Amino acid sequence: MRKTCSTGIIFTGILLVALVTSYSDKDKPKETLPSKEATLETLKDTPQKREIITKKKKAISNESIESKAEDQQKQLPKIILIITSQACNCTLERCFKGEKIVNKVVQQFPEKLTFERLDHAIEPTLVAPLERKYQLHYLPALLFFDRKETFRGKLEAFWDEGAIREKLIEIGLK
Amino acid sequence: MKIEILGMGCPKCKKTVANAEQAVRELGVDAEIVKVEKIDEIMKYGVIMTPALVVDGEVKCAGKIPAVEEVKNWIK
Repeated sequence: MRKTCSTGIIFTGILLVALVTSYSDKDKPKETLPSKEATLETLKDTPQKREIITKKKKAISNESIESKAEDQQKQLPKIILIITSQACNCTLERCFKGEKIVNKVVQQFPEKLTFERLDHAIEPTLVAPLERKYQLHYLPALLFFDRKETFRGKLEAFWDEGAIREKLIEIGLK
Repeated sequence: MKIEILGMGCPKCKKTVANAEQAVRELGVDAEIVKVEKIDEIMKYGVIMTPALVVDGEVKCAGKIPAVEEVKNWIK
C-alpha cells in the first residue's frame, strides 16, 4: 500500500513538471531563421563580420566596374570596313592594301574603338543593306560611327592613312 | 548601243573586254565598246567592285567576268 502511494506521488510529480515545461515553451516567441542582412547586422564587430563586409563591398565594386566597362564598350566609336575577297585584281589589291592600313590604324587605338570587318563575298546579305543605305560606290569602304552610333562619314577605294585618322578624330578619337 | 567595261586594267578586266568584243562580233550588232579605267569614273557607276559591264547606262554585272553567252543575252 505504501509502495503504491509513493509511485503515485512520483507519477503526479512527473506530470506536473511536464505540464509546467510545455506551458513555459508556449510563452516563448518562436525563433525564425534570420536573413543574411539581419545576421550581418546582429553580428558583433568580429573578424568574421569584417570579412563578410569586405567581400560584399568587393563584389559590389566588381559589378559596377563590369557594368561600366560594358557601357563604355557600347559607347565606343565604331568603324565598319567592307572589303571583298572575290573580284578582279584591281579591286582585290585595293581591298588588301586598304585593310592593311585600317588594321594598322586600329591597333593604335586599343579599346577605344569598335572595329567590324565585312567581306562582301562571304556576307553579301550583311553588306547589301549597308551598300544601299550609305550609297557605296567602290570597295574597300570604311564607315564611321560616333559614340551615339550616328553615321559620320565614309571613305571608299582609299589608300590614305591620313584620311582615316581625320575621320577618326571626327568621331571622337584622339 | 554603248557597252562600257569598268576596270582598271587587270587580266580579269581585259578578259571582260575580250568577252564583250566576242559577243558583239558573234551577234553582229552595232555596238561601241568603251573601257572606263579611272577609279573616279568607275565610282560614279556605284558598282562597288570590278570588272563590271554596263549596257546603255545599265549595270549588268559587277565583280565577275561575264561569259560570252551572258553578254549576248544582254545585247541582243
